[in-house]
Amino acid sequence: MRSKIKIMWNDAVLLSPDAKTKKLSKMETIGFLAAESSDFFIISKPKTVNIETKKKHPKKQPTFYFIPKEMAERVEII
Amino acid sequence: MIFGDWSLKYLIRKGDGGKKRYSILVYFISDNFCKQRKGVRKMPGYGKEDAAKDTDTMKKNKTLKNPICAVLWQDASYTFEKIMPLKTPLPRLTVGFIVSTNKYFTHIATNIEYDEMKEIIYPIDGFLIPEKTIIKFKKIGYFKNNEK
Repeated sequence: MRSKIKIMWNDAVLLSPDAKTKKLSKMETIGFLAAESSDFFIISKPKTVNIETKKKHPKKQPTFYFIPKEMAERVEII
Repeated sequence: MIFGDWSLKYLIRKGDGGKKRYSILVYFISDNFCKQRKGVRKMPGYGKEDAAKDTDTMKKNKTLKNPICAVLWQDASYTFEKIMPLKTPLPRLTVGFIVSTNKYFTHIATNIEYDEMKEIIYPIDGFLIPEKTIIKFKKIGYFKNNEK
């Protein structure tokens, strides 16, 4: 049985001239751990939101999300 | 391999009492335990910190050279395909000027205003790249060929 997990991770940021602060985006992805490679968590049915803006990323829900382990800050089984 | 990147390890043990019996223990260890997290890697030679020092965005120092640099890094990715892809995403190669760097991220400017007479750059668009995801950093050269 696949486990449902929550990953808190820091995403890269595309900086525009409008950017007021320089900091990474804190993201939260909840989904099922489909697979794990040496470098990635592969999440199926992922729901990803930016913690600060509360916006979904992307707007349409993808089927799989690849999160590099180096970006992950915290992983929880829920 | 994408489906559980397992490492196969063999242990061969000799039997007791000269019975010439060998037992083979086969066990799997998740790569989580085999590999240490990469963390912030120190790179020999000309580094991001050097590039950030050499980049002049404030007209502070006329001797600064503004090196053009390339950063190879691993970004997160997603797909709308119904079947899980057999390959993991490839790293990104971002080229530009290193504006600043710290233990959390490297700011690389990819689109700039460039004052050719004064050799000063003014960052417009760019990326904040998480430091831990950086695989390789390289100074490529300079916009003007007379500088080394």
